[in-house]
Amino acid sequence: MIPEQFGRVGVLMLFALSFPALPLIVSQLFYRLRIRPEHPDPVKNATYECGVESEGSAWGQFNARYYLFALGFVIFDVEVVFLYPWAVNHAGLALGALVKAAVFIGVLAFGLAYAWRRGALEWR
Amino acid sequence: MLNRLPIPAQFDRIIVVGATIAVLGALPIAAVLIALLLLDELTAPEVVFWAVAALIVAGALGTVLLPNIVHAAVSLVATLLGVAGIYLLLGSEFLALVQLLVYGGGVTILLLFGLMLTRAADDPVIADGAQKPFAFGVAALIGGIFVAAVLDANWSQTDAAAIGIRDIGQRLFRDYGVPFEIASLVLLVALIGAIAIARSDQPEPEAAEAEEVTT
Repeated sequence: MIPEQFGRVGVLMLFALSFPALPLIVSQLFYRLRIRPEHPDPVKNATYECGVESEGSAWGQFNARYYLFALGFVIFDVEVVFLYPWAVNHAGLALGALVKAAVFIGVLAFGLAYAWRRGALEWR
Repeated sequence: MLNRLPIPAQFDRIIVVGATIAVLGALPIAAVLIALLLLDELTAPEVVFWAVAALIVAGALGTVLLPNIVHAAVSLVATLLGVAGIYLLLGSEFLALVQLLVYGGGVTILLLFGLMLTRAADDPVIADGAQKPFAFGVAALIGGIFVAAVLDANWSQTDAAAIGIRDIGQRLFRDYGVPFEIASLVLLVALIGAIAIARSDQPEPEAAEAEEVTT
């Protein structure tokens, strides 16, 4: 029952993945077959069509301040793991479960408030 | 003729290499699996199992064999996601979710951030060394032990029903409420500890203003 449901999701996922993959592959194939013309220039080759122009290479070293955001992400990632069993079945659980989940979120909200207070969410 | 920028050139190469790998590796496997499915040799879950197993093995091989360490890390993500697929096939929905969130999300983020933040040079790190044959030998030895253990094990044939995520929710909130709340305290300690350690070098908000903002 569960694998079947996820199998349908998997088919949809394959279908979705083919959307970005197919044009790239077909374009490259047409280039190899000399159907597609090739006239590159720096504007066409820019990473983003619009927005801030990228500087340097993505291989460079990144600022260590990003690590704090990574750690924050991991903490709230694990919070999702604990809250998921409540979220999928909150109607079937007693009212106490709502209180427990609220306390759980409240304790972590305190951590978020602390992070905010310490300026951990700001870029400096 | 204008020179091409390096990043799209790399991108093109990745497309070509990826398509080549897909055609040479994945498509024959997919063709064989679909043929076996149509011939009723395999059931649909078995086909999915073999496809996911192929993904796991390919990702694991990529992790240890790709010279570029970032490519190896991305290859590891494929393996971790494949393991989540195995959990789904076994009916362990919650375990698959945890695998996806904690390994596919958290551990991967920490790994990639660790690579992004500590790289000294502007070039991709080449993680390849003289220890490769020895590493291969050790890995073959441990793999052999695992395979022997799996073949030797007496697998019980019980038809245990998978525990649904709703049952986990019932048990977690009815019987294990206090450990659940303590888990939030553990996460709180981890969050505050991370901030305290990461922020200890810059206590004053004004002092950091002058620091240069690098990429």
